[in-house]
Amino acid sequence: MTIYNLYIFDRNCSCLYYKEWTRQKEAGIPREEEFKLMYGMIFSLKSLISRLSIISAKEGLVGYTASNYKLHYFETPTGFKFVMNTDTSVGNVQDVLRHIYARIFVEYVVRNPVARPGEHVDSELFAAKLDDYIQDLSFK
Amino acid sequence: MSRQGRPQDTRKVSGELFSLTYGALVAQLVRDYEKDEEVNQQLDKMGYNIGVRLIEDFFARSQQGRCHDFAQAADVLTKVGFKMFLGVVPTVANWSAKGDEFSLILDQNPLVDFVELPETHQGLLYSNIICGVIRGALEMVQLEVKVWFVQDQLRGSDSTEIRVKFLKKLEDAVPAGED
Amino acid sequence: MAAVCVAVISKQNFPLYLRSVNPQNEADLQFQYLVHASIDVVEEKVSTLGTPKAGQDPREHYLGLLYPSEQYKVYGYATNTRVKFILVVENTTSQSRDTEMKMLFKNLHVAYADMLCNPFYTPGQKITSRTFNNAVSSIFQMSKGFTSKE
Repeated sequence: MTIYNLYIFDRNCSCLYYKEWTRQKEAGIPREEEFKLMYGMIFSLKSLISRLSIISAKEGLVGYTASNYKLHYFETPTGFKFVMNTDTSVGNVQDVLRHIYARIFVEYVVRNPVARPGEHVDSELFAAKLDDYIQDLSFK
Repeated sequence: MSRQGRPQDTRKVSGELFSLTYGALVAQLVRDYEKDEEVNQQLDKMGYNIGVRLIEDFFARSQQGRCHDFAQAADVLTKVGFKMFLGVVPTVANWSAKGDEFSLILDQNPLVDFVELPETHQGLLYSNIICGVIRGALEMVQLEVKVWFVQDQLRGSDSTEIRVKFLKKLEDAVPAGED
Repeated sequence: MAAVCVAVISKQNFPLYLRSVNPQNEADLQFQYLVHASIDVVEEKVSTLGTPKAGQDPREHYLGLLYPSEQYKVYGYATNTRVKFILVVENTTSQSRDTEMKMLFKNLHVAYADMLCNPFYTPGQKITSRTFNNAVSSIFQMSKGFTSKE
Protein backbone atom coordinates (compact mmCIF):
# COMPACT_ATOMS: atom_id res chain seq x y z
CA MET A 1 0.00 0.00 0.00
CA THR A 2 1.42 3.29 -1.03
CA ILE A 3 0.84 6.94 -0.43
CA TYR A 4 1.64 8.84 -3.58
CA ASN A 5 1.37 12.50 -2.78
CA LEU A 6 -0.36 15.21 -0.71
CA TYR A 7 -1.68 18.67 -1.52
CA ILE A 8 -2.74 21.24 1.07
CA PHE A 9 -4.86 24.13 -0.19
CA ASP A 10 -6.15 27.11 1.72
CA ARG A 11 -9.48 28.80 1.15
CA ASN A 12 -8.04 31.22 -1.37
CA CYS A 13 -7.20 28.52 -3.92
CA SER A 14 -3.49 28.64 -3.26
CA CYS A 15 -1.52 25.51 -2.66
CA LEU A 16 0.25 25.93 0.67
CA TYR A 17 2.14 22.70 0.54
CA TYR A 18 2.87 19.86 -1.83
CA LYS A 19 4.79 16.71 -1.14
CA GLU A 20 5.23 13.54 -3.10
CA TRP A 21 6.47 10.23 -1.85
CA THR A 22 6.07 8.01 -4.87
CA ARG A 23 5.15 9.35 -8.20
CA GLN A 24 5.76 7.52 -11.42
CA LYS A 25 4.16 9.87 -13.88
CA GLU A 26 4.21 13.65 -14.07
CA ALA A 27 1.16 15.54 -15.25
CA GLY A 28 3.23 17.08 -18.01
CA ILE A 29 2.35 20.63 -17.04
CA PRO A 30 4.07 23.07 -14.68
CA ARG A 31 3.45 22.36 -11.00
CA GLU A 32 1.55 25.60 -10.57
CA GLU A 33 -0.83 24.61 -13.35
CA GLU A 34 -1.29 21.22 -11.80
CA PHE A 35 -2.27 22.82 -8.47
CA LYS A 36 -4.82 24.98 -10.20
CA LEU A 37 -6.18 22.00 -12.06
CA MET A 38 -6.47 20.01 -8.87
CA TYR A 39 -8.17 22.83 -7.00
CA GLY A 40 -10.50 23.44 -9.92
CA MET A 41 -11.51 19.82 -10.07
CA ILE A 42 -12.13 19.65 -6.32
CA PHE A 43 -14.14 22.83 -6.49
CA SER A 44 -16.26 21.64 -9.40
CA LEU A 45 -16.77 18.20 -7.92
CA LYS A 46 -17.92 19.76 -4.68
CA SER A 47 -20.44 22.00 -6.34
CA LEU A 48 -21.67 19.15 -8.54
CA ILE A 49 -22.05 16.91 -5.54
CA SER A 50 -24.00 19.44 -3.57
CA ARG A 51 -26.18 20.32 -6.54
CA LEU A 52 -27.02 16.72 -7.31
CA SER A 53 -27.34 15.74 -3.65
CA ILE A 54 -30.57 14.03 -2.66
CA ILE A 55 -30.25 14.71 1.06
CA SER A 56 -28.34 17.80 2.12
CA ALA A 57 -25.36 19.72 0.92
CA LYS A 58 -23.21 18.83 3.91
CA GLU A 59 -20.02 16.77 3.98
CA GLY A 60 -19.94 16.22 0.28
CA LEU A 61 -16.69 15.04 -1.18
CA VAL A 62 -14.55 12.43 0.56
CA GLY A 63 -12.66 11.23 -2.49
CA TYR A 64 -12.95 9.08 -5.55
CA THR A 65 -11.42 5.93 -6.87
CA ALA A 66 -9.94 5.73 -10.34
CA SER A 67 -8.84 2.49 -11.93
CA ASN A 68 -5.29 2.72 -10.63
CA TYR A 69 -5.24 5.29 -7.85
CA LYS A 70 -7.48 6.66 -5.14
CA LEU A 71 -7.95 10.30 -4.17
CA HIS A 72 -8.85 11.17 -0.60
CA TYR A 73 -10.23 14.53 0.39
CA PHE A 74 -10.62 16.22 3.76
CA GLU A 75 -11.79 19.76 4.36
CA THR A 76 -11.82 21.71 7.61
CA PRO A 77 -14.66 24.10 8.47
CA THR A 78 -12.14 26.89 8.03
CA GLY A 79 -11.58 25.93 4.41
CA PHE A 80 -8.26 24.12 4.44
CA LYS A 81 -8.33 21.30 1.94
CA PHE A 82 -6.20 18.20 2.22
CA VAL A 83 -5.92 16.03 -0.88
CA MET A 84 -4.03 12.75 -0.80
CA ASN A 85 -3.48 10.23 -3.53
CA THR A 86 -2.87 6.61 -2.66
CA ASP A 87 -3.07 3.27 -4.38
CA THR A 88 -6.48 1.66 -4.66
CA SER A 89 -6.05 -0.88 -1.87
CA VAL A 90 -6.02 1.85 0.81
CA GLY A 91 -9.19 2.16 2.84
CA ASN A 92 -10.64 5.24 4.47
CA VAL A 93 -7.94 7.70 5.44
CA GLN A 94 -10.13 10.54 6.78
CA ASP A 95 -8.57 10.00 10.20
CA VAL A 96 -5.10 10.19 8.75
CA LEU A 97 -5.88 13.46 7.02
CA ARG A 98 -7.49 14.78 10.15
CA HIS A 99 -4.41 13.79 12.10
CA ILE A 100 -2.21 15.63 9.62
CA TYR A 101 -4.39 18.69 10.07
CA ALA A 102 -4.89 18.65 13.83
CA ARG A 103 -1.57 17.35 15.08
CA ILE A 104 0.88 18.43 12.43
CA PHE A 105 -0.48 21.31 10.37
CA VAL A 106 -2.05 23.21 13.27
CA GLU A 107 0.82 22.41 15.57
CA TYR A 108 3.70 23.42 13.36
CA VAL A 109 2.19 25.88 10.92
CA VAL A 110 -0.81 27.63 12.44
CA ARG A 111 0.77 27.90 15.83
CA ASN A 112 4.05 29.11 14.43
CA PRO A 113 3.97 32.87 14.99
CA VAL A 114 6.29 33.66 12.08
CA ALA A 115 4.29 31.66 9.55
CA ARG A 116 1.78 34.03 8.01
CA PRO A 117 -1.64 32.69 7.14
CA GLY A 118 -2.03 32.13 3.41
CA GLU A 119 1.66 31.88 2.65
CA HIS A 120 3.39 28.83 1.29
CA VAL A 121 4.55 26.55 4.08
CA ASP A 122 8.29 26.15 4.16
CA SER A 123 8.74 25.06 7.73
CA GLU A 124 11.30 22.28 7.82
CA LEU A 125 9.93 21.06 11.11
CA PHE A 126 6.50 20.64 9.57
CA ALA A 127 7.96 18.78 6.61
CA ALA A 128 9.95 16.49 8.88
CA LYS A 129 7.01 15.73 11.16
CA LEU A 130 4.75 15.06 8.22
CA ASP A 131 7.28 12.75 6.64
CA ASP A 132 7.80 10.87 9.91
CA TYR A 133 4.11 10.38 10.27
CA ILE A 134 3.60 9.13 6.73
CA GLN A 135 6.57 6.75 7.01
CA ASP A 136 5.19 5.40 10.28
CA LEU A 137 1.75 4.64 8.92
CA SER A 138 1.20 0.95 9.16
CA PHE A 139 0.06 0.49 5.60
CA LYS A 140 3.10 2.12 4.14
CA MET B 1 10.58 17.87 22.03
CA SER B 2 7.72 16.27 20.25
CA ARG B 3 4.37 17.40 21.49
CA GLN B 4 2.23 14.89 19.68
CA GLY B 5 -0.04 14.39 22.63
CA ARG B 6 -1.21 17.97 22.79
CA PRO B 7 -4.97 17.64 22.33
CA GLN B 8 -5.05 15.74 25.58
CA ASP B 9 -2.46 18.00 27.06
CA THR B 10 -3.49 19.14 30.50
CA ARG B 11 -0.69 21.60 31.12
CA LYS B 12 -2.06 24.90 32.23
CA VAL B 13 -0.78 28.33 33.02
CA SER B 14 -1.96 30.04 36.12
CA GLY B 15 -4.98 32.20 35.51
CA GLU B 16 -3.31 35.02 37.36
CA LEU B 17 -0.27 34.92 35.13
CA PHE B 18 -2.60 35.08 32.16
CA SER B 19 -4.53 38.10 33.42
CA LEU B 20 -1.32 39.83 34.48
CA THR B 21 0.19 39.28 31.05
CA TYR B 22 -2.87 40.66 29.36
CA GLY B 23 -2.91 43.56 31.81
CA ALA B 24 0.68 44.44 31.02
CA LEU B 25 -0.17 44.41 27.33
CA VAL B 26 -3.14 46.73 27.70
CA ALA B 27 -1.27 49.04 30.03
CA GLN B 28 1.53 49.32 27.50
CA LEU B 29 -0.93 50.12 24.72
CA VAL B 30 -2.50 52.78 26.89
CA ARG B 31 0.94 54.33 27.33
CA ASP B 32 1.72 54.09 23.62
CA TYR B 33 -1.48 55.54 22.20
CA GLU B 34 -3.06 58.83 23.05
CA LYS B 35 -6.71 58.04 22.68
CA ASP B 36 -8.68 55.25 24.27
CA GLU B 37 -10.39 54.64 20.94
CA GLU B 38 -7.04 53.90 19.33
CA VAL B 39 -6.23 51.42 22.06
CA ASN B 40 -9.60 49.76 21.59
CA GLN B 41 -8.89 49.49 17.89
CA GLN B 42 -5.46 47.98 18.46
CA LEU B 43 -6.90 45.43 20.85
CA ASP B 44 -9.53 44.51 18.29
CA LYS B 45 -6.87 44.10 15.63
CA MET B 46 -4.72 41.91 17.84
CA GLY B 47 -7.74 39.87 18.74
CA TYR B 48 -8.55 39.40 15.07
CA ASN B 49 -5.07 38.08 14.37
CA ILE B 50 -5.37 35.72 17.31
CA GLY B 51 -8.84 34.64 16.24
CA VAL B 52 -7.88 33.60 12.72
CA ARG B 53 -5.32 31.20 14.16
CA LEU B 54 -7.14 30.20 17.27
CA ILE B 55 -10.01 28.80 15.25
CA GLU B 56 -7.64 26.18 13.79
CA ASP B 57 -6.54 25.23 17.25
CA PHE B 58 -10.16 25.00 18.18
CA PHE B 59 -10.95 22.55 15.38
CA ALA B 60 -7.82 20.57 16.02
CA ARG B 61 -8.82 20.06 19.63
CA SER B 62 -12.55 19.62 19.31
CA GLN B 63 -14.20 17.25 16.89
CA GLN B 64 -16.54 20.05 15.96
CA GLY B 65 -17.97 19.99 12.47
CA ARG B 66 -19.57 22.75 10.46
CA CYS B 67 -22.51 24.58 12.05
CA HIS B 68 -25.89 24.62 10.31
CA ASP B 69 -27.06 28.02 11.41
CA PHE B 70 -26.12 31.07 13.40
CA ALA B 71 -27.85 29.88 16.55
CA GLN B 72 -25.77 26.73 16.57
CA ALA B 73 -22.64 28.77 15.98
CA ALA B 74 -23.50 30.90 19.02
CA ASP B 75 -23.97 27.76 21.05
CA VAL B 76 -20.65 26.25 20.02
CA LEU B 77 -18.87 29.57 20.48
CA THR B 78 -19.92 29.83 24.10
CA LYS B 79 -20.10 26.23 25.27
CA VAL B 80 -17.00 24.95 23.52
CA GLY B 81 -14.95 27.95 22.42
CA PHE B 82 -15.11 30.17 25.48
CA LYS B 83 -14.85 27.17 27.74
CA MET B 84 -11.76 25.89 25.97
CA PHE B 85 -9.81 29.12 25.91
CA LEU B 86 -11.12 31.25 28.77
CA GLY B 87 -12.62 28.64 31.06
CA VAL B 88 -15.94 30.42 31.34
CA VAL B 89 -19.27 29.83 29.62
CA PRO B 90 -21.13 33.02 28.76
CA THR B 91 -24.89 33.03 28.49
CA VAL B 92 -26.38 33.62 25.06
CA ALA B 93 -29.27 36.06 25.37
CA ASN B 94 -31.21 38.88 23.78
CA TRP B 95 -31.65 37.36 20.33
CA SER B 96 -32.94 39.87 17.83
CA ALA B 97 -36.27 39.11 16.16
CA LYS B 98 -34.54 38.24 12.89
CA GLY B 99 -32.18 35.88 14.63
CA ASP B 100 -29.10 37.60 13.29
CA GLU B 101 -27.93 39.24 16.47
CA PHE B 102 -27.29 38.01 20.00
CA SER B 103 -25.56 38.96 23.21
CA LEU B 104 -22.95 37.12 25.21
CA ILE B 105 -23.36 37.78 28.90
CA LEU B 106 -20.25 37.17 30.94
CA ASP B 107 -20.78 37.00 34.68
CA GLN B 108 -17.11 36.45 35.11
CA ASN B 109 -14.33 37.73 32.96
CA PRO B 110 -10.95 36.18 33.68
CA LEU B 111 -9.15 39.03 31.94
CA VAL B 112 -10.17 41.65 34.47
CA ASP B 113 -9.31 39.89 37.71
CA PHE B 114 -7.38 42.71 39.33
CA VAL B 115 -8.22 45.61 37.10
CA GLU B 116 -9.52 48.97 38.11
CA LEU B 117 -9.87 51.43 35.25
CA PRO B 118 -8.14 54.70 36.00
CA GLU B 119 -10.41 57.76 36.03
CA THR B 120 -8.63 59.15 33.00
CA HIS B 121 -9.37 56.14 30.79
CA GLN B 122 -13.09 55.68 31.10
CA GLY B 123 -13.37 55.21 27.33
CA LEU B 124 -11.12 52.18 27.36
CA LEU B 125 -12.68 48.86 26.42
CA TYR B 126 -10.27 46.76 28.42
CA SER B 127 -11.36 43.38 27.09
CA ASN B 128 -11.92 44.50 23.52
CA ILE B 129 -9.51 41.79 22.38
CA ILE B 130 -12.33 39.28 22.87
CA CYS B 131 -14.38 41.07 20.20
CA GLY B 132 -11.50 40.78 17.77
CA VAL B 133 -10.98 37.11 18.51
CA ILE B 134 -14.65 36.33 17.89
CA ARG B 135 -14.64 38.32 14.67
CA GLY B 136 -11.47 36.68 13.40
CA ALA B 137 -12.50 33.18 14.33
CA LEU B 138 -15.97 33.41 12.81
CA GLU B 139 -14.63 34.95 9.65
CA MET B 140 -12.58 31.82 9.10
CA VAL B 141 -15.76 29.74 9.15
CA GLN B 142 -17.33 32.00 6.52
CA LEU B 143 -19.34 34.11 8.94
CA GLU B 144 -18.76 37.81 8.73
CA VAL B 145 -19.86 39.39 11.98
CA LYS B 146 -19.70 42.65 13.83
CA VAL B 147 -18.80 42.37 17.50
CA TRP B 148 -18.88 45.11 20.10
CA PHE B 149 -19.14 45.76 23.81
CA VAL B 150 -22.53 46.82 25.12
CA GLN B 151 -21.59 47.08 28.75
CA ASP B 152 -18.59 46.25 30.85
CA GLN B 153 -18.28 45.39 34.51
CA LEU B 154 -15.20 47.55 34.64
CA ARG B 155 -17.33 50.53 33.78
CA GLY B 156 -19.75 49.90 36.59
CA SER B 157 -22.27 47.62 34.89
CA ASP B 158 -23.59 44.49 36.57
CA SER B 159 -22.34 42.15 33.92
CA THR B 160 -20.25 42.23 30.79
CA GLU B 161 -22.25 42.09 27.59
CA ILE B 162 -20.80 41.54 24.13
CA ARG B 163 -23.06 41.89 21.12
CA VAL B 164 -22.52 39.78 18.00
CA LYS B 165 -24.26 40.69 14.76
CA PHE B 166 -24.29 38.48 11.69
CA LEU B 167 -23.47 40.45 8.55
CA LYS B 168 -23.11 37.97 5.74
CA LYS B 169 -21.95 34.55 4.75
CA LEU B 170 -18.62 34.47 2.98
CA GLU B 171 -18.06 32.08 0.12
CA ASP B 172 -15.02 30.04 -0.73
CA ALA B 173 -12.81 31.66 -3.28
CA VAL B 174 -13.63 30.57 -6.81
CA PRO B 175 -10.65 29.50 -8.87
CA ALA B 176 -9.93 31.50 -11.97
CA GLY B 177 -11.97 30.44 -14.97
CA GLU B 178 -14.81 28.94 -12.92
CA ASP B 179 -18.26 30.32 -12.33
CA MET C 1 -8.48 46.99 70.34
CA ALA C 2 -9.65 49.14 67.46
CA ALA C 3 -7.37 50.04 64.62
CA VAL C 4 -7.57 53.73 63.84
CA CYS C 5 -5.03 54.20 61.10
CA VAL C 6 -3.46 52.18 58.31
CA ALA C 7 -0.37 53.26 56.44
CA VAL C 8 1.66 51.75 53.62
CA ILE C 9 5.25 52.86 53.18
CA SER C 10 7.36 52.10 50.16
CA LYS C 11 10.81 50.55 50.09
CA GLN C 12 12.31 54.02 49.93
CA ASN C 13 10.27 55.07 52.97
CA PHE C 14 7.93 57.13 50.88
CA PRO C 15 4.31 57.15 52.04
CA LEU C 16 2.06 55.28 49.58
CA TYR C 17 -1.11 55.28 51.58
CA LEU C 18 -2.39 56.67 54.84
CA ARG C 19 -5.92 56.47 56.01
CA SER C 20 -7.50 56.87 59.41
CA VAL C 21 -10.86 55.58 60.54
CA ASN C 22 -12.38 58.99 60.57
CA PRO C 23 -10.83 61.09 57.81
CA GLN C 24 -12.36 64.35 59.00
CA ASN C 25 -10.70 63.94 62.33
CA GLU C 26 -8.05 66.55 62.98
CA ALA C 27 -5.94 63.86 64.53
CA ASP C 28 -5.00 62.95 60.95
CA LEU C 29 -1.86 65.00 61.12
CA GLN C 30 -0.99 63.34 64.36
CA PHE C 31 -1.16 59.95 62.67
CA GLN C 32 1.24 61.17 60.05
CA TYR C 33 3.67 62.07 62.81
CA LEU C 34 3.15 58.74 64.52
CA VAL C 35 3.73 56.78 61.35
CA HIS C 36 6.68 58.91 60.38
CA ALA C 37 8.26 58.40 63.76
CA SER C 38 7.78 54.67 63.47
CA ILE C 39 9.90 54.43 60.34
CA ASP C 40 13.14 54.50 62.33
CA VAL C 41 12.01 51.65 64.49
CA VAL C 42 10.87 49.74 61.43
CA GLU C 43 14.25 50.24 59.76
CA GLU C 44 16.02 48.95 62.80
CA LYS C 45 13.83 45.88 63.05
CA VAL C 46 14.00 45.22 59.33
CA SER C 47 17.78 45.27 59.35
CA THR C 48 17.81 42.36 61.78
CA LEU C 49 15.29 40.40 59.69
CA GLY C 50 18.00 39.22 57.34
CA THR C 51 19.82 37.42 60.16
CA PRO C 52 17.11 35.58 62.02
CA LYS C 53 17.81 34.48 65.53
CA ALA C 54 17.53 30.86 66.41
CA GLY C 55 13.97 29.66 66.63
CA GLN C 56 12.67 32.51 64.56
CA ASP C 57 10.95 31.90 61.26
CA PRO C 58 13.03 33.66 58.59
CA ARG C 59 9.87 34.26 56.60
CA GLU C 60 8.27 36.17 59.44
CA HIS C 61 7.07 39.58 58.26
CA TYR C 62 5.43 40.72 61.46
CA LEU C 63 7.56 43.23 63.32
CA GLY C 64 5.42 43.42 66.44
CA LEU C 65 4.79 46.44 68.60
CA LEU C 66 6.97 49.29 67.41
CA TYR C 67 6.25 51.66 70.24
CA PRO C 68 3.38 52.74 72.42
CA SER C 69 2.35 56.33 72.84
CA GLU C 70 -0.11 57.67 75.38
CA GLN C 71 -3.16 57.14 73.24
CA TYR C 72 -2.05 54.64 70.64
CA LYS C 73 0.07 51.64 69.93
CA VAL C 74 1.92 51.36 66.66
CA TYR C 75 2.49 47.98 65.00
CA GLY C 76 4.60 47.18 61.99
CA TYR C 77 4.92 44.58 59.22
CA ALA C 78 7.44 44.42 56.42
CA THR C 79 7.21 42.39 53.24
CA ASN C 80 10.20 40.73 51.61
CA THR C 81 10.24 43.56 49.13
CA ARG C 82 10.57 45.92 52.07
CA VAL C 83 7.20 47.54 51.71
CA LYS C 84 6.03 48.36 55.20
CA PHE C 85 2.58 48.33 56.65
CA ILE C 86 1.85 50.29 59.80
CA LEU C 87 -1.24 49.87 61.94
CA VAL C 88 -2.10 52.32 64.69
CA VAL C 89 -4.46 50.95 67.31
CA GLU C 90 -6.05 52.55 70.32
CA ASN C 91 -4.11 52.05 73.50
CA THR C 92 -6.71 50.42 75.68
CA THR C 93 -6.12 48.47 78.82
CA SER C 94 -6.96 45.22 77.11
CA GLN C 95 -3.93 43.44 75.74
CA SER C 96 -4.01 43.10 71.99
CA ARG C 97 -2.92 39.70 70.83
CA ASP C 98 -0.15 39.13 68.33
CA THR C 99 -2.17 36.51 66.47
CA GLU C 100 -4.90 39.05 65.85
CA MET C 101 -2.47 41.68 64.72
CA LYS C 102 -0.83 39.18 62.39
CA MET C 103 -4.16 38.38 60.88
CA LEU C 104 -4.93 42.02 60.22
CA PHE C 105 -1.54 42.47 58.59
CA LYS C 106 -1.99 39.31 56.58
CA ASN C 107 -5.26 40.67 55.18
CA LEU C 108 -3.63 43.96 54.45
CA HIS C 109 -0.77 42.22 52.67
CA VAL C 110 -3.18 40.24 50.49
CA ALA C 111 -5.15 43.38 49.64
CA TYR C 112 -1.91 45.14 48.77
CA ALA C 113 -0.79 42.29 46.53
CA ASP C 114 -4.13 42.25 44.70
CA MET C 115 -3.97 46.00 44.28
CA LEU C 116 -0.46 45.70 42.88
CA CYS C 117 -1.77 43.31 40.22
CA ASN C 118 -3.85 46.05 38.66
CA PRO C 119 -2.02 46.73 35.40
CA PHE C 120 -2.78 50.42 35.66
CA TYR C 121 -0.96 50.81 38.94
CA THR C 122 2.72 51.67 38.72
CA PRO C 123 4.64 50.49 41.77
CA GLY C 124 5.66 53.48 43.84
CA GLN C 125 2.54 55.46 43.02
CA LYS C 126 0.17 56.68 45.69
CA ILE C 127 -2.51 54.09 46.26
CA THR C 128 -5.93 55.29 45.19
CA SER C 129 -7.58 51.96 44.45
CA ARG C 130 -11.19 51.55 45.49
CA THR C 131 -10.85 47.87 46.24
CA PHE C 132 -7.86 48.53 48.44
CA ASN C 133 -9.82 51.21 50.27
CA ASN C 134 -12.64 48.75 50.82
CA ALA C 135 -10.20 46.17 52.13
CA VAL C 136 -8.82 48.71 54.60
CA SER C 137 -12.35 49.57 55.70
CA SER C 138 -13.00 45.92 56.41
CA ILE C 139 -9.77 45.74 58.38
CA PHE C 140 -10.98 48.60 60.54
CA GLN C 141 -14.24 46.71 61.01
CA MET C 142 -12.48 43.49 61.80
CA SER C 143 -10.28 45.06 64.43
CA LYS C 144 -13.37 46.33 66.21
CA GLY C 145 -14.67 42.79 66.23
CA PHE C 146 -11.62 41.70 68.17
CA THR C 147 -12.41 44.16 70.94
CA SER C 148 -15.87 42.83 71.52
CA LYS C 149 -14.44 39.38 72.12
CA GLU C 150 -12.31 40.57 75.03
